[in-house]
Amino acid sequence: MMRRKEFLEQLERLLWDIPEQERKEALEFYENYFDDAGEENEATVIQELGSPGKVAATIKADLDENGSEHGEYRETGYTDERFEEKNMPDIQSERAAQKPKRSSLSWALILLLAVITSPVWGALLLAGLGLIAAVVGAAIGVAAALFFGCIGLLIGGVICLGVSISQLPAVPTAALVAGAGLLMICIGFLLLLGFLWLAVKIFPICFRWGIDFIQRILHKRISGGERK
Amino acid sequence: MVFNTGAALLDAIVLAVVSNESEGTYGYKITQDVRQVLDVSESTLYPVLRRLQKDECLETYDKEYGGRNRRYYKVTERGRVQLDLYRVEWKSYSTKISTLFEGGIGK
Repeated sequence: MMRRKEFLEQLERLLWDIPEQERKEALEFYENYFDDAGEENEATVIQELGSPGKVAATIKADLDENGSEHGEYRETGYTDERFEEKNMPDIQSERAAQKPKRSSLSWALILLLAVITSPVWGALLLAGLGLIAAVVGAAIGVAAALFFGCIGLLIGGVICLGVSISQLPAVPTAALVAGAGLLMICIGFLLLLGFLWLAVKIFPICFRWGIDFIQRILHKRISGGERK
Repeated sequence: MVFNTGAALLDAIVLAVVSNESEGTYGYKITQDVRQVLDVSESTLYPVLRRLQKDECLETYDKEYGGRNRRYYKVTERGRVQLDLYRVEWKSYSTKISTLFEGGIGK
């Protein structure tokens, strides 16, 4: 806790650059002030006055101005932006503190915007997912048609051949049924080839392409974040 | 208080406080008196007193009190004129604002 003597000595030192007469007046005033407040109020007075620096700045501000007004007497007392001690060292940390605040605010705005516009991008997103599901479903449908068509034709062909043997006494009928059976088996093999071609070549390519596409989107988003 | 007290108003308040004591009054008492009606910091009032003294609105004299010299402030003739001016200005200003607040303008 600073004592009166210390306070006045510091004040005197801080007032080194004002005219001798002014310094003397000010010091006399505050000597008087402490005397009249009484020793029991010394601590209160020092606390109320603030630092010697603040008192000195207030005195100098008034001398510099010579009538022009920079300061204001606010509800919190006399305020002069040029001499407010608090402002000077804190300005940078305050600015530093403001920056992340501002960016978090902008993030909040972006989020808010995203929520507000969600009916639009939500619909688009759902439409995109629907389209993908439709394509996948169609592909599966085509593959299933090929597969089961092939099975059916092969089974049908084999049955036809069996039936043609039982129809042997009537040669033309047996030949017709056997021909149909062979045709069915041939088409069945063709469908099987088609199915295998789809399952072994086309689907893995599409699958890889899809994975690549999703990865590219995710990667872009991550590297985009890093750039900021 | 919500409203700021400008330099002129503070000058007027200090002049009024000092003029209430015909024999003059001293720094600490002026500060306490002003602070009874206005929440100003204690360091505010010395520059005001000094300025009023330089403008010859206040004069000082030293008188012995309790074995030491105490500086007294007294309103000069010039200070009295200035204070009257402030009083007139304040009356007009505060009346207008009060009238406005109570909805009396434009009727």
